[in-house]
Amino acid sequence: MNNQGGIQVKNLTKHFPITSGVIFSRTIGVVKAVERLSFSIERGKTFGLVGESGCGKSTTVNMILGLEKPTSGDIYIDGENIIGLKRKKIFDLRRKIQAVFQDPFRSLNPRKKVKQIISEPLLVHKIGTKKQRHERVLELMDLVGLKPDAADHYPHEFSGGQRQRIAIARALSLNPEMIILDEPVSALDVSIQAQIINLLVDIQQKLKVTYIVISHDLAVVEHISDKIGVMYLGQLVELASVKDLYNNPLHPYTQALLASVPIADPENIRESVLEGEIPSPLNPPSGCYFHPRCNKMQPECKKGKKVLHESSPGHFTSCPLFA
Amino acid sequence: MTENINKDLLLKIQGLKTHFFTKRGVVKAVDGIDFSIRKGEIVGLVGESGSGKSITSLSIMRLVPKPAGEIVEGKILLDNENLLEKSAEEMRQIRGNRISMILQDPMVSLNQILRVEYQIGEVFRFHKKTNGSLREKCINVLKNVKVPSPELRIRDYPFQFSGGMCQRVVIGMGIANSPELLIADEPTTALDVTIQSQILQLMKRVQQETGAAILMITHDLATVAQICSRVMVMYAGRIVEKAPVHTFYKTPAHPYSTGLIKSVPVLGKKIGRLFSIEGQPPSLLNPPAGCCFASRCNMAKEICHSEYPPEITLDENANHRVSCWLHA
Repeated sequence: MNNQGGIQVKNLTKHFPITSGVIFSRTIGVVKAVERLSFSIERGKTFGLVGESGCGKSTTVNMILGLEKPTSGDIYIDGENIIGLKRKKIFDLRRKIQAVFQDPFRSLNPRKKVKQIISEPLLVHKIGTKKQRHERVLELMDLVGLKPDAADHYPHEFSGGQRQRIAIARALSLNPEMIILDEPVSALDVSIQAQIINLLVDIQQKLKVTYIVISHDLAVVEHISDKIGVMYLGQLVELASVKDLYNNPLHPYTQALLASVPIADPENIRESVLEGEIPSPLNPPSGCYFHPRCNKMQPECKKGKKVLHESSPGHFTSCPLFA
Repeated sequence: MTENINKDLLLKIQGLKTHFFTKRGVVKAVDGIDFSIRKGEIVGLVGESGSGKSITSLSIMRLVPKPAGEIVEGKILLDNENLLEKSAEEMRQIRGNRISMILQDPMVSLNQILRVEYQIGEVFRFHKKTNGSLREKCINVLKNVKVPSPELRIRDYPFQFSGGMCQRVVIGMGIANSPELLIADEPTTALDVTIQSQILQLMKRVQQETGAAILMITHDLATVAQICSRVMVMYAGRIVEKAPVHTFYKTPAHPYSTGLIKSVPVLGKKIGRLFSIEGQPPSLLNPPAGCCFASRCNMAKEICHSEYPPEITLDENANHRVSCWLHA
């Protein structure tokens, strides 16, 4: 793995204990939200993380953002391990990582003006004078395609797409190295989605920021990512470049996921290939977690732990059929 | 129109206008729409948020929020009976019986603190269809929508179900009384991709088995392509294009439809930049004169900014109509 910027995640694990009782609480079980997750992405590239709800995507990015403490594992940003840092260091680290969330109706403070929202990170990190901050706000608003007179308005005066632009401007205010995009367009209308996706791509080319994108929309992820990880029940089941993953998906779960994406073409009617639902992470199946729903299940799939292995250069899968 | 003589006509909407009277002025959420749905067909109503598609469905159900909202004009004919002339009690007998509705978020549309059995049973109790064992009927509802081990799940609460399973329960309740029309307002938006396709297939099966017509309201063009036979595109309170689904995706006529189709990222075809329709939909408080899309349209002519285009029939047989000056 290289150490020139970007992010390396190694064996990241998060277990949530299930406790019972109020005073003498005891642990009665463990939800393995994320298990031995490893991936890396270079600076200025995009890593896409896909999977069904409850598969651990959000827990993963929460750990990268420092909002959740991993049970074990390491996260290197610019070659520096961010796990176990002192509070002061974590505070500095936040300048490097910013986030844009799914719902711009909830992620912006309705009582603050746009200029206050965008300049808040600068204020928190005590950067620049009042005048410099104001200039920075205007610069950022221009970058994300907002008119300067929007600065004195409140979020409720904007549509979803405009609000997402405000959220992006806020994320960019500290010149971060990395932006976590948690379902950045799924709350937006189709015609606006394309505007925001194009904006994100433009910003990345201009500023060389790294993106980590979480989305359940595989077409959107394909469009902006360089590398994609597919998660199932807290584990990566496949990790590959966009081209490999979409042209030659190996893991049956990835195949099923791709096959079930509805397509805007009436000539191409999809049949749902995946029966049933994601099992409870409290009591996951043995062996490969996907085997109860898999149509290519072999006896060996039920036994042993399945880990990622390289089946072709740069293309990793945990499916035992490609071992 | 030729549809008048059509015997299998189920729902016909004529000149429907639903306005909201607010302090800041009149919001013309639905501003004069006409369409019809035949028995047993699945029709998609596509549009962005704020285009009036949900208000259209609420108008059909006569559930427009009061006192601000009001249906000011038009007719909603279900089997040639005008729903707008029905009394509140008559409407109650129609809802959940002849027309039922499925909403976007199943976690919200079910009551979390009542057992599923009670909530499904309500459909039968209310419409006094309580002959035979109520429990068996409820189990049958769950069986119809393929909820595994319905005999046990019937005693569960909605929070014990996953999102996809909840939506199955809601669909089950919707079709329990074999309605003639099922209105589905973004039924798959809140669900995962894999569950989305399961639910779409379920709805298609429901339509084939019960013969109910479905009005599918969505902003997702993929959903429409997958299950609908006809599409209607709504923009700023009006229907701008109506077309059979194959025609719509091959040769959309309205510039807005064209833009929508082009702006969807296609799986497996990574292109440099996505096509995007610049600008925002207009405010419905003070809609511009002329075509509402004119300010975002790159083919707009002078007349587009001054006068609203008439509905132009492109193909009478296929019922392909568009409201655009480019085709006049």
